[in-house]
Amino acid sequence: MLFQTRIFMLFFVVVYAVYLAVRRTRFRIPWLLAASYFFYACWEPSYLVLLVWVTAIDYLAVLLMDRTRWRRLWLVLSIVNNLSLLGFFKYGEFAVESLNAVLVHVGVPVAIPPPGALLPEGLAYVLPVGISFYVFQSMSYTIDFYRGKVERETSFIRYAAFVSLFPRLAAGPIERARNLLPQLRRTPTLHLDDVTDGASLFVVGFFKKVALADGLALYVNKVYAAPQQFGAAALLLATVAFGWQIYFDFSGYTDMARGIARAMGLRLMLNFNNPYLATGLGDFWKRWHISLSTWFRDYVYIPLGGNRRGEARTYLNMAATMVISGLWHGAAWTFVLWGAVHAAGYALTRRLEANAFYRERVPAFVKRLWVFVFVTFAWIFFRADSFADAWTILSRICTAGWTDPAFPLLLLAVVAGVWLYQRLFESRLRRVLALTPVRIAMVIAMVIIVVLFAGGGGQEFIYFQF
Amino acid sequence: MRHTTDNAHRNVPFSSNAVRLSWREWLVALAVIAAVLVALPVVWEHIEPLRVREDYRLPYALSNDYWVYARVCETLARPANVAVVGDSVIWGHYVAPHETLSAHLNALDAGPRSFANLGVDGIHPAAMAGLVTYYGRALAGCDVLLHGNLLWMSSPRHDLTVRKEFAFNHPRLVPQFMPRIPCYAEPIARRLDVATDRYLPFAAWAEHLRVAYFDSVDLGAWMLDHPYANPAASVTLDLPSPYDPPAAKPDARPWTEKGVARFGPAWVELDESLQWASFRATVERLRNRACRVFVLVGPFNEHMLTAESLETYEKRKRDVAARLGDLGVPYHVARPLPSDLYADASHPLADGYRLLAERLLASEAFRRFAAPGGGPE
Repeated sequence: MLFQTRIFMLFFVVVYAVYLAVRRTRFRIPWLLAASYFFYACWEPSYLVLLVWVTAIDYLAVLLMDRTRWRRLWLVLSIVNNLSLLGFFKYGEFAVESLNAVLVHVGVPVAIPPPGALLPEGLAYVLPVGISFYVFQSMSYTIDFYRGKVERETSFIRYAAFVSLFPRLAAGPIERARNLLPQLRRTPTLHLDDVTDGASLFVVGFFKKVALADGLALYVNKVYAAPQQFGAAALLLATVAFGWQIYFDFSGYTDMARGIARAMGLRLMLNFNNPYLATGLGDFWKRWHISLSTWFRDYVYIPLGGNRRGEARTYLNMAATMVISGLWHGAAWTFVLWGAVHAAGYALTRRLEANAFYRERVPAFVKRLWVFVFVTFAWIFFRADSFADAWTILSRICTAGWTDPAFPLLLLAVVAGVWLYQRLFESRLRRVLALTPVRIAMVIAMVIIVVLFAGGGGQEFIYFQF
Repeated sequence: MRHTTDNAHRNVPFSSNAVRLSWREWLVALAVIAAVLVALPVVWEHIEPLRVREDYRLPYALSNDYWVYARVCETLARPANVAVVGDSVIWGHYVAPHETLSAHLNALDAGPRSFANLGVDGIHPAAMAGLVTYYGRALAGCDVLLHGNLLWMSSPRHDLTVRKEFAFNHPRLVPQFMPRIPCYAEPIARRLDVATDRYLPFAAWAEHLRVAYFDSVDLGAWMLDHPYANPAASVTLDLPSPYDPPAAKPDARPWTEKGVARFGPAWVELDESLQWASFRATVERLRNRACRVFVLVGPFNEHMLTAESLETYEKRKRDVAARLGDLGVPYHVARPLPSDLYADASHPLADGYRLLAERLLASEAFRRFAAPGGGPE
C-alpha cells in the first residue's frame, strides 16, 4: 500500500480509529503490530516471515546478551543473521552474476546457480520491501544494547512493533531504539497539535511525491532510457531533474511517514533537511537521508576509527563508509562507484575546509553551487542503468550538441521556487514564510494541485527498491 | 554497565519547512479547499459554453468525458424530448450528426417531441450501466429510447467474460468489484480510486479538464509533449465540435465493398451474459427513476452471419424479445436493413439510419411510446 493511494487512506482511517480507542489500554501496541504486519503483508505475505525472523533473532540476541556472559557471541549472531539475509536477498544475484562473469573470463566452465534456486518452490526470489531498512533498524538495537546505550526491551510485542512500525517500515527513517522504544513504552498523550502537525507533514509529503517527484520522473525516465538519443542540454537537465526527483520522492515519503506517525503521537526523526543548501559534502550528508548517514557514522565509520587515527586513516575510513553506503543502495557496481565519488567529494571538501581562505572568504552561494554540481554529477552513476549508460551520459554532456532539451518550463519554475523557498527558510526571511496567510495559502495550493492535477498517484517510491 | 533511557524524541525538529498549521488554520484551509472543490465544477458549467443544437451529439474527442455527458443529459433529457441512449450505433460512428437515427427521427416525425442523441461512441452495456447510474442522473422522469446491440453478446470477449486481460473501452464505468469482470485486472487500489471518483463531482470535472484540454493525459505527461506551453492557456473553454469525426476516420462504405468476410460469432447465452445482465440493470435503473423505457433491438447485419450463426442469432432475438416482454418493457426488434446499408456488423450508413427511423416510426408500439403523454407500457 502506497501512502498516496486511497486504499492506504482507508486502511489508516480504520487503524487510526481503533488506535484512538485503545491508545490508553494494553491493546495499543498489539494493535500497532497487527496493523504493521497487515500493511507489510499487502506487498508480499510470504516475506512477513523474514520480518518476524529478524525481529525474533535480535530480540533473543539481546535477551541472551543480558543474561549470559557471551555478549559478543550474541551480537555476532545478530549481525551475521541480519547481514546474511540482506546479502542473500539483496546481493545474492549480483554476487552470483559477478562471480560467473569472472569464471567465464578466466575460462572456468562452471556456473554458480542463481540464489533463487535455493528458495522453496513457490517463493519468488525478489527483494523484500523494506529489508534494508528494518534490518538496519533492528541491528542498531542489538549494537546499541551491546554498547550500553539502550535498555533491553522486555516485551517482544513492543520490540516487534518497533521493528515493523508501518509508517516507516517500507523506506525508513531508520529509527534508533532510544528514540522510538521509549515512545512505545509511554502511554501517549495525544494532543490536537499532534494531529494537525501530522496533517501538515503529510500534505507536504504528498505534494512532493505526487505533484513534483512523479512529474519530474516522466522527463528523467524518457531521457535516461535512451541517453544516446539526447543532446547535452537534455542529459544535463535530466540529471538535475533526477537529483530533485529523488529528493522529492524520498523526502516526500519520509514526510508522509512522519506525519502518519505524528498523528499517532509518535515522533520519527527528521530525515531530510534541505540537502541542496549544503555548503560541503559533509554538510550534505548531515542533511540527506540523515537516518542512514548517522547509522553508517555510528556503526561503520566510528568503529573503523573515525577521524581519531590520523588524516590518512580518516580518509580511508570515510571512503570505506561511503562505498558501503553506496552498496547499501543497490546491488550494482554503479552504486559502488556513486559511493566512491561521494567519498572523493568528501575528501575534497575536507581539504578545502581546512583552508582558511576557503572557509572564511569563499561565499556560501559558491560553496552551495559547487556542492550541488558535484552531487548532481554523482547522481549520474546512481540513476544510470549501467556503466556504459553512465559513460554515455557523461561524455554526451561534454561533447554532444546543445539541442533543445524540451524540458517543461513550468516544472523548472516550480523546482526553482522550491529551492528559493528552502533558501528563504534558512535565512532571516524565514519569518515571511511563517506568516499565517502564507502557510495557509501553501497548504490550499498544494492540496488543490494534488487533487485536481496530479496523475494516478500510484507510482512507487524510488527507495522501495533499496 | 549503564543503560540509558533516552528522551531524544522530545528534541526531534518538526520539519525542514514552515508549512505547519494550527487546528484553527487547518479549519480555514479546509473550508477554502472544500469551497473551491465544490464551487469550481459548478462555476465552470457557467463559464464553459455547451452549444447544444437539435442534432447535437457528444463530441467524439469527449467520449470519455463523463462530466460533459452529465451536462448534455441535463440539457437534453427533458420531458419534451425522447432521450436516445446507446452505443456507437446510436452515436453514429460512420455518419455525421445530422445523419444519425435521432436526427432522422426528428426529420421524419411530425410530432412535437424531439429525439436527443445521448449515445456514446465505443460504449458497451456494462459501461452504459455505469454511465447511466453515475453520470446520467438527469435521465429521470423522462422517456428513453434505449438501444440494445446484440453484438456485445457475440463472443465471450465482447461479453467481457474471457479470463485473459485485455484493454476494453470505458473501464472506469464498469463495476469495479461486483460483479467481477474476469478480464479486468486493475489493482485494488486503482479500482478503489475509480469507484470513489464516481461520487466526487470535482474528480469528474478534473477528468473533464484532462480529456477536453490536455489530450486525455495527465498534466505531467502533457507538459512533456508541450514543454514550453502554458497549461492555463490550453484551457480555451472551447469544446470540440460534435461534427468532428472520429480520429481514425471511419470508412463509410458498405461492408461488402471493404472486403469484410462473413463470420460465425460464438454467441453467449443470455443467462451467462454479463453484457445482457448489465443491459437489464440499465433498464431497471431507468425505470426506477420513473423513466419510460422503449428498447430498440438491432438491426444487426445478419447478412454477415454464416447460416449456422444466423440461426443462433434468430433464437437470441426471440429470447431477448421474450425477456423484454416478461419485464413489461415495450420494444421493437428491427428487421435487418438491406446489405448495402451496413458499414460493418452493426453500424448502418446514413440511408440505413433513415430506413431504420422510418420503420421505427411505423411501429405501433413505438408510436404509442413516442406520442406526447405516451400510452401505457
